[in-house]
Amino acid sequence: MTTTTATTEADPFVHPALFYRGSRQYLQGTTPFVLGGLDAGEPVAVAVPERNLRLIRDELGELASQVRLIDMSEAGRNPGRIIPAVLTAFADLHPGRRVRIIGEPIWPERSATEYPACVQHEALINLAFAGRGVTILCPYDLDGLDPEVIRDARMTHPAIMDASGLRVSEEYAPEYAVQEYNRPLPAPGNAAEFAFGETDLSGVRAFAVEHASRMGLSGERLQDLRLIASELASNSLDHGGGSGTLRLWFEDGRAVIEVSDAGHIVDLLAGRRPAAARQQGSRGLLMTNLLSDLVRIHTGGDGTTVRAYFAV
Amino acid sequence: MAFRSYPIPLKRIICSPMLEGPQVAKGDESGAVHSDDTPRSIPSTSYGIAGTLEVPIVNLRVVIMSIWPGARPRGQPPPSSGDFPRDAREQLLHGLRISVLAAPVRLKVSGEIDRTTRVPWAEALDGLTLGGDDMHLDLSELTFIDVRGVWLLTEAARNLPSGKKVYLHHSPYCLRSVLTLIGSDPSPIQVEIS
Repeated sequence: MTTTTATTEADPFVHPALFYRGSRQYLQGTTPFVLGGLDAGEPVAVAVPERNLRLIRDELGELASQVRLIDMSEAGRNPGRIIPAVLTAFADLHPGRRVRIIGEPIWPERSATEYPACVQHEALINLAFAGRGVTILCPYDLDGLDPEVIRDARMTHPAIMDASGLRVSEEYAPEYAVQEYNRPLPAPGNAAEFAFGETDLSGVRAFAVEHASRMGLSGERLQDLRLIASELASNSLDHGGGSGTLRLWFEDGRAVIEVSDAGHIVDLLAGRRPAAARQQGSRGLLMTNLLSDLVRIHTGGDGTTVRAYFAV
Repeated sequence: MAFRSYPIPLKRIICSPMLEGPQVAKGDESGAVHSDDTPRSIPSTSYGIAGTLEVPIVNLRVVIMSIWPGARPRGQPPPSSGDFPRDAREQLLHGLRISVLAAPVRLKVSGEIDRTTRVPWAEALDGLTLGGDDMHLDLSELTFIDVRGVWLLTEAARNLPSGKKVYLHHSPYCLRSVLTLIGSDPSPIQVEIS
């Protein structure tokens, strides 16, 4: 297996998927990638689930101290925050330099509710880093993941690496993948509902706090949810036709908050671009990605629904 | 009183610890601790104010905003004593109270800052920025601030003359958490294992 990726192509951004079976292939794919980066003087980060992080760290030995090790199951629990808070954050630490990252956002325990957000994240990496000197290698567990997941990875990665080497992905179609998973969200069973307009932001927050606290959310997480309720409702007032509907319900151990309105989010990277410090624009979706445990969005000409999940 | 400084470019914003306990914003392990030897007792009532107006509105909230001449919005004539500035009167909004006090605590904010109450907040900050001195904000009664509201605070800090700082007294979690996330720290929520 080789890790000499095609970095001489027109786009300096390189984003191969690594299809592996078992720990040995995992290390055969990842360790030379890390060592090659260190040899080239490139800053290297490894953002993978903790069990794989331990594998790589043990294999690297003392060299592990030169690598940024990040537990993806924690930092990337919400796929929507991986681009702004992990990948871009690391690249921005080293302006003007090529950086190398192993990013593993999909593992067998990911739920069906999380998975569409994972695919969209993988697809949007290509848009977020186009033209940038960044290499991101994404391991996929052939034994643990469904064939459908592997099929999607071929859509979201321009190149594939496996035991037979590196090749171009013929199925590569990132924007199609984003649309494919931009699906209507299943209706909640039993939700508390609040229709809001221009003057109701304070009421939106009070309603969200009342219902989320009944679900067991408290302290700082309750305040985070209150902020997200307010930001999403503000977005509806600014961009979603001036009104919207807030819903809250409890689902699989999580408080879910949803805001729907008549708007249409056309910027595919909305909420994933870290805002420059002096930039005035809206940070509502970015904050939603940063503070919640999962974000699901369905948007189109008929309106937009944003769901944010908070583990209780 | 000890202050915790936020990373650049928020270095000009310094938060005092909360009175209630040693609660610290998530992920905020940074920052030298500055010691500020000036004890700041915060008066429970406003003083040095030019005017006060109370307007009862729905759900029994009371809107109170007190303006001291030092914080009048940019370009407005100084109000005569006891006369409430007309523009400010028009900006009175739900549940937000901003009192501008004498030094060292210059601005006390009570209530909620959001899209609805953004304008008086921006103008109060603007007024303090024009003063060009260290800004002291008493936020013990701030119950909510949205992301734009925090961003306006960071802008005010950046617009101060070099060497001047914003001191946040008793800033609540809802402000510190957003400050940490919209600041310059490029990796606010990276979680590393040792």
